[in-house]
Amino acid sequence: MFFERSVVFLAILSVALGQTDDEESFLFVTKQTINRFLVQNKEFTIKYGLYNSGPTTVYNIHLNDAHSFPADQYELLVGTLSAKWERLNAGTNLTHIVVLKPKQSGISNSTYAIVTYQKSEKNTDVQKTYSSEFGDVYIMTSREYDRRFSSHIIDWLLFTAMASPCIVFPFFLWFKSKSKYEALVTKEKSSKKAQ
Amino acid sequence: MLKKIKISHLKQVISPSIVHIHVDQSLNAKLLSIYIYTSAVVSLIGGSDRHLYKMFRVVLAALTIIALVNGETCESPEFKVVSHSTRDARLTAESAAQLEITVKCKNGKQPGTLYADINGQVIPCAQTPTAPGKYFIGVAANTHKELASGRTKIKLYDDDSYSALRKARTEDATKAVKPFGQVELNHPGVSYGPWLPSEFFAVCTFGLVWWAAYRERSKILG
Repeated sequence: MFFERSVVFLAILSVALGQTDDEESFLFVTKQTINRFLVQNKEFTIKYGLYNSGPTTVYNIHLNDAHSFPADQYELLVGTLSAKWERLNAGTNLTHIVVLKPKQSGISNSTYAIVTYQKSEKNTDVQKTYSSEFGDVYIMTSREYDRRFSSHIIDWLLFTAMASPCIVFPFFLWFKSKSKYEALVTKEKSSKKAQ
Repeated sequence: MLKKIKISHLKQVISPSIVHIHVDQSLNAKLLSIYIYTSAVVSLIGGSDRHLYKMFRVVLAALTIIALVNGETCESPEFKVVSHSTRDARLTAESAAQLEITVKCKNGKQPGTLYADINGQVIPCAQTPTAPGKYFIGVAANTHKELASGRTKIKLYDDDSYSALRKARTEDATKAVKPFGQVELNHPGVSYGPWLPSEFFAVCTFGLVWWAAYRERSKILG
């Protein structure tokens, strides 16, 4: 009897304590790049998506990603690598865009961003979560990119300049002899007419 | 002369009005609520005594004017916007835009938190600890076409207007909330590269040269 009662009591207690998990929200953070190619000295855009899954609002969100992109390898053009938001309502999502410019080419490793937030306004316990990462990326040199994608007008102009002696010189010779021959023909004709 | 009114009757009338006063709002609202409270008291007590009533009204009007002038909220803000969006469609697979807003208020105060209305969703703006006066808004689109090119107006709300927006239940009430300000996102559009590649022009030019030479040659031979 006592055993049954204590088991029932323990079951109710565990359910009651377990209820607290349903009322808290969890923040998912994704970190992606929207670039097809990463090119040295061209824009490198990173998109951070913050998703609040769960029924409650989260407060005091801090995103810190300065360790993934050190200042000597990347230059910050737009946005900020350490951002903070006051709150994120339940079921809503946020996007944060950062645009960098890689200074060096080669393989670059980037780690995840660290995000901290508070689950409720009064409770100042800070929850830490990590974003997703896109791992090793290859940054190509600007020459490689231009070979594929730039408009090659300058290349064609240079080619025309180099090929033109081969064409213009024989044309000039022909034109000179042609004009001399035609002048001779007209002179003969006019002399025949005079006769 | 003051009217003789029972104290209990007075309490009955005044207490409901006190209940509706929110204590945690700005100084402006606090002073305004004190004004309403005391004017309610005065109208009950000094109804017949015109001089007393007039004096109270003047004092309370002065108080509200002072409250409005030294308000905690940002009055008539000026926005300076730096807008950036993806321009090259061959380099990026999706479109994204970022707005950097710097707010300047007449009374030198900063708005606190700003909320932006993007595609119907009102989300908070990011701030950074390194640069306190700047607010960042990010917009992402899955395809290049989804991010509208040209100027898009984005409404901004501060704490007071945001809480008013949250309380509004109907469509009309939501539209009636006055936003804190409005900024524009300028997206010039994405480019996929030049329409005609340079090889086309090279082929045309050399083709013309060849055709002229062939014509002359056939004239000579024929």
